[in-house]
Amino acid sequence: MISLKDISVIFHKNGESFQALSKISFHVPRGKSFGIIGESGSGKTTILNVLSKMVASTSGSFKVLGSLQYVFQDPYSALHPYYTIGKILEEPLRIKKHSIDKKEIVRVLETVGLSEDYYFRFPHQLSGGQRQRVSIARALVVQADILLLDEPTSALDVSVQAEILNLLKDLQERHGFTMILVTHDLGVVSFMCEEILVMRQGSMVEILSSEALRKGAITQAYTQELVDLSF
Amino acid sequence: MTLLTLKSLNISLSQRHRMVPILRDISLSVKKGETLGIVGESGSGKSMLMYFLLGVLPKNLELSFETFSFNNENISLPHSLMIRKDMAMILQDPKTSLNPVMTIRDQIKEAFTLKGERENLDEKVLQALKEVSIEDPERIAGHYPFELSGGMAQRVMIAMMLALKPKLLIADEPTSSLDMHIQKQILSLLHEKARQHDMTLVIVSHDLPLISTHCDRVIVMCQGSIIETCKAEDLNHSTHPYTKGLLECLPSLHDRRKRLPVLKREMFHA
Repeated sequence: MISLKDISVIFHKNGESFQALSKISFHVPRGKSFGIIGESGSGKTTILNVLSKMVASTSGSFKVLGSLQYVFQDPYSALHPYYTIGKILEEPLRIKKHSIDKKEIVRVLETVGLSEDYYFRFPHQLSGGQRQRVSIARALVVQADILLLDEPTSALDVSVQAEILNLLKDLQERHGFTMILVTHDLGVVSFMCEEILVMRQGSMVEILSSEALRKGAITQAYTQELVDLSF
Repeated sequence: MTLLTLKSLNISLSQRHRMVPILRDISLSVKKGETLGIVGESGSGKSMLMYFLLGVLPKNLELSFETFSFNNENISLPHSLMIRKDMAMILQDPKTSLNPVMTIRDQIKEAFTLKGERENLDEKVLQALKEVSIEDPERIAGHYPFELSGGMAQRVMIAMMLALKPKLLIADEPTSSLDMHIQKQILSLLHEKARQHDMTLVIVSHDLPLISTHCDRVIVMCQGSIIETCKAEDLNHSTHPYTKGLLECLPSLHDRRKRLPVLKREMFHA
């Protein structure tokens, strides 16, 4: 479960202040998918950074029930280049001081569609889609309750994107984790999420269900603009 | 009028005493003034084909072709490995294609110098930046690439390539690192400049909707071969199983599917 109330973030740089987020409030029940959409610089990623405590909020309050794991946009820079896939997947367990069981890690690899052979490979030997599968596996080994997905498929081919989105849906059904998905692709967000938050310049434009978005029940002109832009 | 003709291009790489084909029997022609789109998944050979056209292929490849002509000039096999004049390319990630330790001003100056221009370079740089709709050229010219947004950096890249006055501009995934608002702006900027400067465009992308709305003709590539050539407006009604597969796996706003269909790649192994 995730709940934010009036979260604001102000960054200070060179004596100037910049309001990155102003009064963000939303609630995501356990096991649901919540999408955040907006242009670059609209504050989408900052929301994730607040949730994962990488950025401190200036005012407001938020509550996160459960453990978080991040899946980043660029699968090429998200994995340690000198570590084998096995070591990459063991790392969160080591950090959390869990016991490390190779069999369990191989099982998780298999749930994301990678065979045991990948255990001793290095990231550079994998394709973009395979690396993103490893990133997802890294969240699964520690049985994360909440996945923060920051543009998880925008660096991938459409065909690979379809595979990864299907995988995330299947895994969610099986493991019941919550997903917060940040993207600029309306097609992806309406396919994946029940509810969608539209962001602009650090503020909320509206929250609407993907059903409402599909039916065209849009109340804000800016949301309509985004819909019109997506071909 | 045809600007570029290529017949039966084959490229392969010898790896551990085995020849791995990279491009197989590629034939294409580009008409003057048209916008040609090239689509396909990663690894389908799109970029390799572009590197060949530009003459920047690595030297360790085996290549052969029947004919290759550009701008009314026949190009022989040894010449095909030299950088083509009158052709320029912009790449996916503008931040990595710009020199990180040079100001924008110096980089664009460099492009003009390559074209043999020596005079009034400062003035020309500002003019070039203005041309790609940068409102405050003086300020941007003094910046380093890391200080620019993705969209701004891509504009600078376009300004730099325009300085070379190419006849053919290749844009390899020019907008896939940009968000939708900026995507539209950059593509219409490319079209506008192509028209103004009498330049032909080749846009390479894995984004089928983008290609079908912004190009005249489309080439679909799969595993090193051209599998389909069609008019852009016909792309959405393609009957080829591979093209159809690529179109169907796109999630759309009006989607009610629970799962997305995925490509069965084994089907297309040549």
